[in-house]
Amino acid sequence: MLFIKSIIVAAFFSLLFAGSSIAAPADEAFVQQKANEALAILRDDSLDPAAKTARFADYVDNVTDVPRVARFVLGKYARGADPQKLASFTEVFREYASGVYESQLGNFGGETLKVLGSQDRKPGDSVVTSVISGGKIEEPIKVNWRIRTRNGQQTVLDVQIFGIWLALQQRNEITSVIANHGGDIEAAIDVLREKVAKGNYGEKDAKAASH
Amino acid sequence: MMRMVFRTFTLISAAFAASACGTTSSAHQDDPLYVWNKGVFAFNKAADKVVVEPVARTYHNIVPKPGRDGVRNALGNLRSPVILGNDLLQGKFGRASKTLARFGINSTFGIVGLFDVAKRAGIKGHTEDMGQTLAVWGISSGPYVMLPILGPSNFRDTTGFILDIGLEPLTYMRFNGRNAILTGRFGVNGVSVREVNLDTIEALRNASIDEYASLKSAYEQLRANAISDGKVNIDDLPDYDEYEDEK
Repeated sequence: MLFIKSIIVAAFFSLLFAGSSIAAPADEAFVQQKANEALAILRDDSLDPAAKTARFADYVDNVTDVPRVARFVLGKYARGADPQKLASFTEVFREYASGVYESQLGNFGGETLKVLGSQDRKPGDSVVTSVISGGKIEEPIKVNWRIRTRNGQQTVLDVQIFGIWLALQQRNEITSVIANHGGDIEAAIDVLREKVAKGNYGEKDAKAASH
Repeated sequence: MMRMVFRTFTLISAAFAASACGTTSSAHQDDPLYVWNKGVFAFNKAADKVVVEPVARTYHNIVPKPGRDGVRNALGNLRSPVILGNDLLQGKFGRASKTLARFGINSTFGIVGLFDVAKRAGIKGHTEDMGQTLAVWGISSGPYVMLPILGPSNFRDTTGFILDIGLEPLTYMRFNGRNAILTGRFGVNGVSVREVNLDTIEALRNASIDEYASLKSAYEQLRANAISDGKVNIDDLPDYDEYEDEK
């Protein structure tokens, strides 16, 4: 009788959770901790801009799996790519991605981030939802984090802010550049090198220019 | 209703199929109208540089922020019937009641919508349109298309843009000067939207590696986000191992 009851209870819960995603509490804690670290770097006024950029680049290296994200943004062009070109691309992409993330998050500092919840996409692949509020911003801003876990090590694969996944955005642009140059990764390397040399990543620069 | 949707969608598809005949580029398989789109993108960019952006900047410099906010609030309030219609067509009755409450409060206490009193009372606004409704009904987006002056769209959103006219009360009113009001409102709305996005568009241009691809990607992501009301649909996210070398 107890056995039948257990089956009924199990069936009930499997129905209850069918189609819904399970939370990933370890990933939520990871995001909370890493976001606090990022905000601490951004609000550290003892650092000059160059030192802040260097510190942020180290931070990005530490929390994201740059080679994996670099392969992702290359899309179909990553498969079978020349290893030397792939290494060159990863190197310049590291600098570019760090600049973009610093630029996007550079306007924050006095704000706080609160994790709201998470969804498990599949084992080792989850999305953590958070909200940034307080400080200078009038309305809370929702930020989603795509987290990958392998061998107990968590890394950030992508961040969605203002409704846009940044790595996905970069993939659509980079693959377009490569497609326009006959599938040559070198074209994307050149464009990113130029971008990094100019140090122009958008958000912070545009706001500075228009006010 | 479904027949009208299908007819409009078919007409738009046929028009673009005819104009973009032979323009498919093998390098841009996800963008079958690439050549047409790139041409219109260049035209829109030039029009923006010469007319739209200077007008929006002048408006920004001349009209103080409370005035610009008032214009934006009033235009948003006038859009309420379209939002309400789409809330209802999507079966989102909770959101529909908020739209209705906002319209009532802002039209009266907010002095014909100039002040967003409802937001201060905790009833925040949202947008809905027929493009989103068609998506909720399961109609696929169709190809991406760049429209002259109007900017990025797709077959579904273009169809929705036309069908939204049917939800607009002014469409059914008959009086002298109606067309002038509709045209003026369209123009003021365009300038207001461009003005509020001066920073965002400049940031997008500064950050982009490929401006055309950047706009297309941002448009598609923002529309997906609007359709899901800001919720992340984890099944729609790409796999990170998709293009790994096979081991």
